[in-house]
Amino acid sequence: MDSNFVNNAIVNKDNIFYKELKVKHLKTIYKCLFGDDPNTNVVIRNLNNILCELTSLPLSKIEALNFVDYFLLLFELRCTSIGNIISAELPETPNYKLQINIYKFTEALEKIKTNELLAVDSIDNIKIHYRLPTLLEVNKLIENNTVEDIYITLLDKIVIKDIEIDLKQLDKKSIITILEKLPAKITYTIANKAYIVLDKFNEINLLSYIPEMVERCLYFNFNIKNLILLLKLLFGDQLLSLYENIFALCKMGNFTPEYIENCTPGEYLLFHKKLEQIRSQQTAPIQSSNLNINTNSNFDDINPYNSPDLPPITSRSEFTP
Amino acid sequence: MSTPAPDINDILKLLKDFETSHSYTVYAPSLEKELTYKQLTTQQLKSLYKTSINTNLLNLEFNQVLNNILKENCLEKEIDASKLTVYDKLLFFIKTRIECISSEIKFNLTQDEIDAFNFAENSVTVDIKEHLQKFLDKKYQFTKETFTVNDSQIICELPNLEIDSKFENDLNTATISDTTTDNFANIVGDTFINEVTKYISAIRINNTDIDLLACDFKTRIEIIKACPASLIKNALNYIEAYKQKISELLIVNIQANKDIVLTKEIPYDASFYNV
Repeated sequence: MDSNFVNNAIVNKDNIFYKELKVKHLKTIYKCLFGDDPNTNVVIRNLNNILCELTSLPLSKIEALNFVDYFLLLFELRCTSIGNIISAELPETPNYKLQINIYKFTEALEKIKTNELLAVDSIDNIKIHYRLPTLLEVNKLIENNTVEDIYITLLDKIVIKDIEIDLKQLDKKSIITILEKLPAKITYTIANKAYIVLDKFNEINLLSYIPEMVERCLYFNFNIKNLILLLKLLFGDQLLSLYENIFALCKMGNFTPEYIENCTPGEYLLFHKKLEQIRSQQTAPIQSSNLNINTNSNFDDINPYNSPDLPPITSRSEFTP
Repeated sequence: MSTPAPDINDILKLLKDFETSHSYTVYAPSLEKELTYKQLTTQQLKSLYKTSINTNLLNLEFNQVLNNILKENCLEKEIDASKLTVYDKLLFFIKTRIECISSEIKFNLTQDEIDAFNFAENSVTVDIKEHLQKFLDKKYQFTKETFTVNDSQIICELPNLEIDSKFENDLNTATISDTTTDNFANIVGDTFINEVTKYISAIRINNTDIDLLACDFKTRIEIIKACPASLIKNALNYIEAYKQKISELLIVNIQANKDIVLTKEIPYDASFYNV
């Protein structure tokens, strides 16, 4: 089964067409995010492949998306495929479900106004153009974070007397050689810009709009650990529940695993609820606890994450590079 | 179709041209003229910062790095930059900060200073461009002076970069090979004598000329130690007069209130190039 439903997202003024997520994509995401310390490289590579499969962008363009645009696209994909609300339960209020609206995350990222933040610096006939790093570059910052690494991830191109040097096309060694030959005041300007950009991102707490979350923070900054937590919040990591549910649908609903995996998350949940409804009308009701399905949800609610085992929300973590 | 990656050599050539086309001038009192210098590069700035890690008694590494930068960046072909004096170097040090980084210097304030001078913040920013100009307007010159005591004579003058570098290299070599705690007092003494020796360009004792430049470090120290104290006192006075004058440049007056002025010293080391 292949849905032909196509949606479009405007990301940084570009129109990107995309298809909904399928259960098989969710399974891949769950696998990547499984555990307390997922391999960030694996998460990014797999997400890139999924985005390549579902969007109108080739892999090279997906890899080149800056991490803000990347997440804006993921937010769109999540909202269209699963819904814009994440239900979370706080340990101190176990019976109260907190509603986190992903559109508020989108608003927070759009408020950054990257064009203004990354305005071109011009000194003595040298123009410095900046950019935001890709998700892979953010990931590398945590492994090897010298000051130069941060500058390199923010530098787009340098224009000297109308001659344009595209730094993205050069290797790290060449960029460092160029940086070292640049006048000192240019480097100071770059350093100053880097501080402004990092400070700006360190102020973005995606949960700040929720009064109940005053004690908790989820920073959207250059720290890959925070971005992985955000992914866990967006998609969850309930791999075992997914396997159990696919098994139940195949055994009791006579679906094939291939069919289920090619369903959209909404379709998948709908089939589950329907099967549960039929079974409950018969003599032996399905043990919902074994299936990890919320029996009290109505059919309109197609959020499969409406369960209390959402990933933990972190306390404030500092930008480490 | 992607554009080919730019050639790194072409870029470096472009930057080299840029260095010279965006030059600046620094007044050299020893030549009584403005000299043109190319921009301080990031690499040079990094090399200055590195000297902050390896500090020693007289900040020898910083002096060497600064001497090298001055010689490397001087664009005057007809000038032998190594013959510029330590005074020229000081002006280069200040002007390069102004031209290549910023004319604004941030001085951190101690809690005592904040309390005593009623500052609202824990730092104060000063534009030193005007401060430098005021100093230059005084047109201080430090000429060669001859001092005679009985049959002995010394000639004092500001050392040039060649002498400055040579003497500091010698001192560095001597102190590196002799760094035991027991010899620390000797090192301090030798360092002091070495500094004095830099300013003595010639010695004549009993009609015999002694070429200090031709002597090795230990011999120079021994010669100065053997000189009459009254003769060396003249040299010390000469140095003191110079240091006193340049302190007017290295000390910045900050108007705290209407009648109160706080003085802060410009650090003559790599930390001056911090922003």
